[in-house]
Formats: sequence, structure tokens, C-alpha cells
Amino acid sequence: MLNINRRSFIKNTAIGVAGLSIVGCAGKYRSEFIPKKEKRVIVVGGGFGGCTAAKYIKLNDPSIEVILVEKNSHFVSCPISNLVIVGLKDMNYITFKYDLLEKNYGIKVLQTEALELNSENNTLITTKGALKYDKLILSPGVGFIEDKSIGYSLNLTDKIPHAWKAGRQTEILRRQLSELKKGGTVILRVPKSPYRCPPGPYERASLIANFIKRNNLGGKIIILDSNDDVTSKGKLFKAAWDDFYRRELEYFSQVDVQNIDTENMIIDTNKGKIKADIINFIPDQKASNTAFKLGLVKEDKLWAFVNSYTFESEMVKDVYVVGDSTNTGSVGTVPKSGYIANSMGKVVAESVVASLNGKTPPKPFMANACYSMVSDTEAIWVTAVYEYDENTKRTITIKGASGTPKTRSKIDAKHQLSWAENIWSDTLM
Amino acid sequence: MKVRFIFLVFLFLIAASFVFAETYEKRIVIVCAGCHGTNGASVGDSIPIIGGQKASYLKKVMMEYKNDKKVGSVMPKIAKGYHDERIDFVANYFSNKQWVNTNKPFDKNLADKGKKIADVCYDCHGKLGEGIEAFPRIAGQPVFYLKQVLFDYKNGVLKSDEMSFVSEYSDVDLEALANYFSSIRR
Repeated sequence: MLNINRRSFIKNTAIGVAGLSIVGCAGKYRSEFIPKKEKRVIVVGGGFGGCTAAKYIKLNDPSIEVILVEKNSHFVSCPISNLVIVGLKDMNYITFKYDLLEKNYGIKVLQTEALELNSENNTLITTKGALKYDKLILSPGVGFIEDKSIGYSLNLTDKIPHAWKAGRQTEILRRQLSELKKGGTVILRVPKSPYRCPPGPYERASLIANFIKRNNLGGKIIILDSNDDVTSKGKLFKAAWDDFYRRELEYFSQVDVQNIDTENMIIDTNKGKIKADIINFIPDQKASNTAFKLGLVKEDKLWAFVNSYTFESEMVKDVYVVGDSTNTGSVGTVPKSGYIANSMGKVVAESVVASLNGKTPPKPFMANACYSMVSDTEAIWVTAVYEYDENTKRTITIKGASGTPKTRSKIDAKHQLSWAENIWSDTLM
Repeated sequence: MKVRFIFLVFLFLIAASFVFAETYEKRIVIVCAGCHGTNGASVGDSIPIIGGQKASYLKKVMMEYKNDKKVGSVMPKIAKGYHDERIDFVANYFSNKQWVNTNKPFDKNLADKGKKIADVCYDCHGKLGEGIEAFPRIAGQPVFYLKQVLFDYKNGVLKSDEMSFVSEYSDVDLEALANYFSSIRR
């Protein structure tokens, strides 16, 4: 099993060499770091999916030991990070410590990195040592696809940030934008679907156009979309662009980027060459490298396939995958959003608690609510409710319980912040 | 002995079905916490606290959203995912949670001003804004939310005979009422 997994990891990711070096030195990490005494669930990934799963396991059965493995010291929220990039909010508004999960629920938070999975004896190898588990939940987020044939590598992200994982990248793009010269051009590349947060790139483009307009910079933002059309809330975004940003925003769909010349800041596409002052290149996405590394992605696939009722991995027993890394088709009709990751965290918490107690969990039921700013004062949204369908064995959208508003509004801009504060509290506090 | 055994089996089945129902009920309602906070204790100032709210009010509101008799943000869509049994789950589950007051600040001067005119609300919402049956608890909700609701009634965005009195009040008076009821944190 381990060999097959590792082969697929090397084939599917550009950091296969790093993977081999982990095998070489994994021996020193094998001593048990925290000896397992009781029922134990390890959660890898401290984002919306992982933290919610950890918290709701404790809420469902406090007797289970829960260890959250997270390599970063802080949670930085992707939702609202577009507002930080254009200076409407500060980094500290979207940055949180993990301490309340420890204090309020007794979850052990370990700042460490998952290296390897020994699925035969339920052991996770981390940089701090081995951890045995009864159940392992993985919620590692997305990974990025490098494409050397067009000159795109993740080594370039200090110069052409994606800012698609909030934190340092958010700060780089914020600084670049604050230094944008008069008449400057920003290019925003929208990745091929599926990717994390379908409306996210269009919200960012709207806010950058708004930034250019508010500051009388006289420049523009050009959206290069690899998809056939705007992938989410299309009519509402386009109406806002038409009403507000005719001078500041240009939208092109079906764009293939053929080359990126970062030295001269020129992007070559099937529709021509464009010179920019800022290139916000959001690369195509796949499951996080951690999911590949632990052998949870099938050969030649980009996302982790799961059982849609329990979220147990199709590859490894007792291991569950939630959040953006899951193959959407194997779950149902849900998008890759923070709210869905939060919903999945609750479903998987019930799933593993039921399994550890010899019971059958109830059918999955999830919801999504997602607000996007179209200016500094107005927002739009998309929402849906999902239930498990016995016929398709998938979680599908309930008829009538989904949609978008008729138009943008100021009150929805207010709701976006309240929504964020509540989902942060439900996930982290 | 046999009767006793059957009785015990009967008790066990009732207990098991109760546990299952409770789990299923919880599964249906905990998705709400993403917007309304864990156990309905909203910390956002435009989204109401629903944990500890009156059950008959929660049921009424969900039905109104579902039947497009009440306008809102995402709620008229979301409520359509909840058939009547699920609406009962929502109402029962959140009304049984402990009320947690908002942590958003209020304006003391406006709250004092609001207290002087608040008796117009007592018949329906109780003298401490605690809510009576299908009339909601308003004490300890965020100021912004209460103000927005009052303005929506005044501007005809929300319609209600009981709330039609607000058209006789100035915006400042309504803001004062919102601050007063938000300030009652008990």
C-alpha cells in the first residue's frame, strides 16, 4: 500500500524528491510522541474543516481524545482576505490563535507537520514523532499545480502572488497593490474549475477595481479566466462590473495562459500578450500535497475520493477526508467553500464518533452560505442546502433551497462580516 | 417475568429511538451554527442570536421564510430545505439552548433615552424584552440587528400589524429602543 501511495505521490506532485527524503529520515520520528491511552482521533489541518471536526467530536463525545495537527502557528481566514488585500480590513481581523480549542474543549493542538501514514498499524508520522490513532481525519485544504511549460513555478509566488492561501501571500499582494502606480495594470488569472472558493477571484477583481476607482489611479484590472464564463454569481458580478467599473475592469473568458515572463511582467495568452504591473496568478488546484503524501489520492487523480455518507477515504481504512481536498463528485454537488468545509467537519465528527461507539451515523445534511463584496459597500451571496440521497448515494442540493439574490445590497455587505465572525466562532472558539 | 422483560425491551427501544432522533435532529440543525454561531449564540451584529429564543417564534419565522412571507438575506432560500418536521427540530433545538447575550457594545445615552419610551413594547415582548410565545426575545440582541429590524418595519420592507406603530417614531427613537433592549443583558 505504502509503495503504491508513494508512487502516485511522486507522479502527481512536483515535490516527489522531498517525499523521498522524508522516507530517508523518517526513522528518527518513529518513537511514539504522545502514547495513546484512550479512544483517539487525530485531525490533520487546522482550517474550517479540521477545526470544526475536532470541536464537534468533543461536543459529541468528550471522552474521545482529539489531537489537531497543524503546521502553522495561526489560523488565517481565506474568507475576508480579499478585503485585507484592498485595505478595507487588517490582517489581525482574519488571524486567530488555536488556544480556545484547547481551553474550551480540551483538544490538544500540535504545531507539527504530517509526514507519512502507516495505515497497517494506524500510525501517523509527524515531525514531532509518531502518533497512534483509532481514526484519522484529514482536512488539509488545496494544493497548487505548477506548470513549468508556461513558466509557472511556486518559487515565483513572492513576485507573482496567488494569495489563495491567506497569510504571507495576502500581505505580499496587499503591499503590491498599495504601491500600484497611476495608470498601472493588474492581471488576475482565474484557475480552471474546480478550485477553492468559486466566486473568490471575481470578488477580488471587483474589490481591486473598486480600489483603483476610489484612489483615482486611472489604471485597470484585467481578468483572464480559464473557464468558459464566470463560475459563480455570474449575472450579479457582471451587473456590478457594468454599473461600476466600465473603465477599471476588463473580463476575458476561455483564456489559456501560454507563457509568463516574470522579468518583464508579460503574460502571453491565446488572445494576445499583456504587460502588467501586478500579476495575481491563481494556479490550477488539486488536493493538498499532504493528501498525496499520505496516500489518499488515487493514481492519476487530483482529489481524494471519499465515501459520501461517512467521508471515509476510498483508499485507506479509518482515514477520513473533508474540506477542499475531497473529490467533489464523490461527495455530491457541494462547492469547495469554507462553509461546506465547516458543514463537512460536523458530518465527519458524527461519523467517527458513531463508528467509535459502534453506531450508525445519521444521513449527511449540509449547507452553504457565501457572501462576496462587489464594491467597498455592497455584497451579493449564494446559498444552498444539501441532503444525502439514497438513490445516487451522494449529498445533493435540495430543490428550491438554493440561489442568489435579485441584486447586490449594503445590508449583505454587513451580513458578510457577521457571517465571517460567526463561522470563525463556530470553527475556532 | 416475561412481562417485565418485554417492558424492559420496550423501554430500551424507546430510549434507542430517542437517541437516534436526537442525533438526527442535531444533524439537521447544527449546520445553522455556521451563520448563527455554535448553539445559536451569534457574535455577528447583523445576524440574530437564536439560541434560547422562543420556540414558537422560531417556528413562525422559519415558516414565513419558507412560504416567502418574510424577506431576508439567505434565509428564504435556506428555509426551503426544511420541511415541517425539520422546522420543528430547529425550533426545539435552539429554544432549548442557553441564551448568550451579544458582546457588541451599545450606546448608554441612547439606551437611557430608549428606556423612557420602551413601554410600547412590553405587552408583546415582556417588560424585560424576554419574549412571550411567538413574540421574540429582544433583550441582549445586537443593537445593529434590532435597529435594522425596526427600520425595515418602518420602511415597509418587513410587514406586520403589531409592528406598524413604528411609523409614528423617529429614526432616533427607534435607534434608542434598539440600544435599550440590547442593553438588557441578563
